[in-house]
Amino acid sequence: MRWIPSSVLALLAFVPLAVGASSPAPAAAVWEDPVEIDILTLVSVDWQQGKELPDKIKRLDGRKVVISGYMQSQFRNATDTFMLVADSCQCTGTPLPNHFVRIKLPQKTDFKPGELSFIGTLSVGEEMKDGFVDSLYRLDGDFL
Amino acid sequence: MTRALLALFLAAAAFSGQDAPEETELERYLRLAREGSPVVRPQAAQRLVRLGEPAAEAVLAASGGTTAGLATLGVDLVEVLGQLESDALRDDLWTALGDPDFPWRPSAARSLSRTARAAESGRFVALSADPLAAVRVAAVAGLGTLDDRALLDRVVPLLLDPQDRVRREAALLLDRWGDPCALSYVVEDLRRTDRFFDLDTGKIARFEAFGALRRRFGEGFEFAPERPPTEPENAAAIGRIAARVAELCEDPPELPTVARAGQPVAGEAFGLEVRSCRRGEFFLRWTDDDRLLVGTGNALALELPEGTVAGLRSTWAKLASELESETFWGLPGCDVEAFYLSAPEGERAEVLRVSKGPDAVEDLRPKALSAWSRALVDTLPQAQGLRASVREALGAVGGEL
Repeated sequence: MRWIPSSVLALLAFVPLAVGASSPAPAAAVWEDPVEIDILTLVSVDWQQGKELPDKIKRLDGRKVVISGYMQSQFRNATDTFMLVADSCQCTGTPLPNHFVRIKLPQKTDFKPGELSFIGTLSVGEEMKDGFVDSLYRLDGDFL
Repeated sequence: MTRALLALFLAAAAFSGQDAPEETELERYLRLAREGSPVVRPQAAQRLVRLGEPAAEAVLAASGGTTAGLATLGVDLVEVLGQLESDALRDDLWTALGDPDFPWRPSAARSLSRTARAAESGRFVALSADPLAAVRVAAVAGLGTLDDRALLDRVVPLLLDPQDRVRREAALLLDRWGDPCALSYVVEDLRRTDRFFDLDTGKIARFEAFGALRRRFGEGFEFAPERPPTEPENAAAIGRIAARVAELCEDPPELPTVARAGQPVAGEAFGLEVRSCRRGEFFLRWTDDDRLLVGTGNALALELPEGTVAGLRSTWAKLASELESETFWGLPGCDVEAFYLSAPEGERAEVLRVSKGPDAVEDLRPKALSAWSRALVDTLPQAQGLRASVREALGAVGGEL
């Protein structure tokens, strides 16, 4: 990811994970380096519903990450939730749950056709909705 | 009044409860495969397939046995129709595949290839020359499903295909058919570092090639596709993989230029990606030093007259303001035009995309982008029909220039 200046990542490393305004100051602040992960690593996993994910993927659950990819082009209207996919072409049909990261932003965004980067907390594992796997990877975060 | 309204409401509710027919499992899957959320549609389509013959009958009724009807089923149903083992649906899929305006041709091709039948071998051979790379990949996969080694001579030329996915699919099939030397093409993709503006085409190729080789040999050789192949650990891993292939292949082939690992290109100024189901695919880049790069990977470099790109910069400066902040026109589909504009160091390239959905739309491409397309096309060499071919492909997607 040549385009992310190292100074930005260095700054992000000192963003507190959660410091509530009314909470007493913790004895030692909780800091976490964001891990830059490659979306191709996630979407290359051989997945079947109910099958365990590899340990290296499961270990990313709950981690603060930076990830880049392309908005799935079926999300044309302004939205705060969309699929992030690995390939701008999107010529291989609708992605299956292991082929995208569901991004949840704090605000709506229009469709953007180029490569985009996000920072946030990744959650990993099958999330079901109405009897179907709704997502395997989710990122609650914002544009980097 | 309130009582009367309440009574009316209860009566309506009871009426609705009595008359609303309960949706069957088949009806639910069919509905969700067509109209569900993007993540549900492919899963619903796969579950529908498991219902077998009744599902095939329902799909046939929904499509009406026409190509237009098949298009209305949506990409996710088309993707699985071949698995329904219906002769009538299969015929419809082949008919649709022969129609360049059918919006889901790659899905139709994959659908047929997974369940290819011996009588269709000639059709799959013909499909391996399709204008769309995704269809050619499916054609090779179909030949693999048939597993008819008499077709080996029809697969070998595909190692020269301009698209890496086609070359890899062909190489892996040739390996399965007893020619492990073809794996050299796949190993070479592990060495790629090329890009197409921000699109890391080299890394995508490394991931796909590595996945295929890991399945082939049952081990990962400690190669990390997300890391550059030049890093010492990865270079050593590639050496181990190449050695394993050499154990199987006494006389490794000399790879053609198109299949050799590409490197990043400095000075990308403008780019054009056109994918037309009818007229083929083109990946073009104009560089600051007046070169035209044709293709991805180890792209073919052609010299342009001096000052060509400076002229394009001047043209773009005049047209850019007419587009305001819009970056996308049309609907998702296989027919795409993407215009790339370089950005200062450290920033991403700007991408403007025109996409043709299932239905034809007049004046899909905005006027300023049409003018920009003409400016780009006019710089293309006329030799070997490149200029005419790109003009036709653009005409088939966003409209005549």
